[in-house]
Amino acid sequence: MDTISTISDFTFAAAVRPEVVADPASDHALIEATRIGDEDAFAELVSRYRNQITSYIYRMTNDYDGAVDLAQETFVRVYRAADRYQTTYAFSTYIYRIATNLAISELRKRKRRRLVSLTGFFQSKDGAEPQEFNPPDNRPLADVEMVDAERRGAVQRAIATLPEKYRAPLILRDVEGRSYDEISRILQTSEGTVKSRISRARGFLREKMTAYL
Amino acid sequence: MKTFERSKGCRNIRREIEEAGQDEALSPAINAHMKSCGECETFFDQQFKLRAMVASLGIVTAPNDFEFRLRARLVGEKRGASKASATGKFSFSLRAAALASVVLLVGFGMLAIGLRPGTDGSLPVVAQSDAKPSVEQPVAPESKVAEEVAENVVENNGNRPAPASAPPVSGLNTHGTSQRVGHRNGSGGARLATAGNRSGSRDMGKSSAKVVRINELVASDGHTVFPIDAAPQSVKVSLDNGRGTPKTISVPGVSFGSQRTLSQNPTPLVASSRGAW
Repeated sequence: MDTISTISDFTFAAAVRPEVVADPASDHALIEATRIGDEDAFAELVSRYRNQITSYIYRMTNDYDGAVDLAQETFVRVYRAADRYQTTYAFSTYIYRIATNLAISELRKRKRRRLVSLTGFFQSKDGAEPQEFNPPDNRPLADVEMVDAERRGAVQRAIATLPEKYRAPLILRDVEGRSYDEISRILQTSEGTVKSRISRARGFLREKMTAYL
Repeated sequence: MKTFERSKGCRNIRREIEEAGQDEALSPAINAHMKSCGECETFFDQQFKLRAMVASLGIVTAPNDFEFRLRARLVGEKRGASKASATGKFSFSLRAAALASVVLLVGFGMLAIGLRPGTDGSLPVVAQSDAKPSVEQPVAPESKVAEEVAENVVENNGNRPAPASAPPVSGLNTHGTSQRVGHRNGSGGARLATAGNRSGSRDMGKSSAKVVRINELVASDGHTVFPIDAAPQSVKVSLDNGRGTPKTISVPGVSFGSQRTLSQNPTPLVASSRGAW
C-alpha cells in the first residue's frame, strides 16, 4: 500500500499524474507545463504535431491554405483548453479529435456554401452525398514521376469525394497509420463502426481508382 | 453448398485482408486460400496497391512560418481578450460616468432654469403683480399717458375721483395705505428692483404712474405722507407752459431720503406745476 510520507509527496501525487512523472518530455508533461504558462512546452507540442495535423486536415479538406488555418486553430484551441485537458487518453487522440471536428465543420460549411470543385458533382446512387465527377485520365504519361504525381493527385481527389464519415477513418488508417482503437477514440465511435467505414471507403476508392490498380 | 462455404470463407478472408495492416504479414491460412482462390488473390492485390497509393500521399509539411503565425494569432487572441475585458470594465465606468454627467446636466439645467429671470418661485409673485398693469393693459403712447397723468394731477387737485380708465393702483387702498406693506419690509423695494433689473431694463416710465391724491397724502397732523410703494416708480408730469407746447418732466423714483424731503414740503407736485422746480 502506498503511503504519503510528506506534504510535498501528497501535493505532487494529487496534482500530477504518474505518467507525467515517468516521462517529462511526454505530451502530457508538455501540456501540463503549458497549463502553468510554459510557452516553450507549448512550442514543443506544436513542433511535434504541426505537420501531422496540417497534413491530416489537408487530406480531409483538399485545401492547403485552409488546412494551415485550421491546423493553427487546432493549436489555439489546445492552448485555450489546456486548463481543461484531461490525460485520460493520449494527447494525439485529443488533438486529432479537435482537428477532425474542425475539418468536418469546414466540410459542412463548404457544403452549405456550395463550394465544391469546378469539375462538378453528381448525386450518388443513394442520393445522400454529392459525388465529384472524376473520370480517370487514360492518357499515356512519359515520365514515371509524372505518373506518380498524377496517381497521387487522383487518389487525393478520390478521397476528397468520399463522404466525410468515411473519409476521416480512411485517412487516419491508411495515411496516418493509426490503429483502429485510436481511430475509434478520435472519432468517438466503436471499433466495429470504424472497420466497417474503412472497408466502405476502400470500396469507393477502388471503384474510382480502377484505372490505376 | 460447397460454393456457399467457399463464398463465406472468401468473405472472412477478405475481411481479414482489409483489417490487416499494410506491412502486416498475413496468416498461412489466408495465403493458402489465395493460392486456390483467384478472386481473393485479385482482391488482395488491388487492396495492397490501393493502400500503397493512399499511403504514398504521405505527410504534407506545415509552412515554415507556421509557428510564427500561430504565436501572432495567440498574442492577438490574448490582446483581444484583455481588450474585451478592459472594454467591459470601461463600459461599466463609462456608463457610470455618463449617468453622472446626465445627473449633473439635469441639475445644472434645473439650477439655470431656477435662476432665469421670471421663473423664480418667490420673486415672480412680486414682479408679476407689479408688472401686471403693463401686461394686462395696452401700453399707451408716452404722450397720452403723460396727459392722463397730468389730468389726474389736476383732477386730484380738484378732489375729483380718478377716471375709470386709469390703471388700478396696486398697493394703495382707499386710505392710501399700502396693501403689501407686509410683503415689502426693508429690502422689499430692493428685491423688486432686482427682479425688475433681471427682467431686463423695465422702464417704469412707460407704465402709468400711480395716482396720488393730495388729500390722501396729508396726514392728520398736517404733514404729507408719501406711500412707500410709490418709491420705485418714476413720476411723469406733463406741463403746459401756456404756449401750446406741453412739456413732460420725468421725476426719478423717490427714495426714502426723498420721501423725507417731500414730507417736509406738503405739495411738491403742485408747486412744480408751473416750472418752479
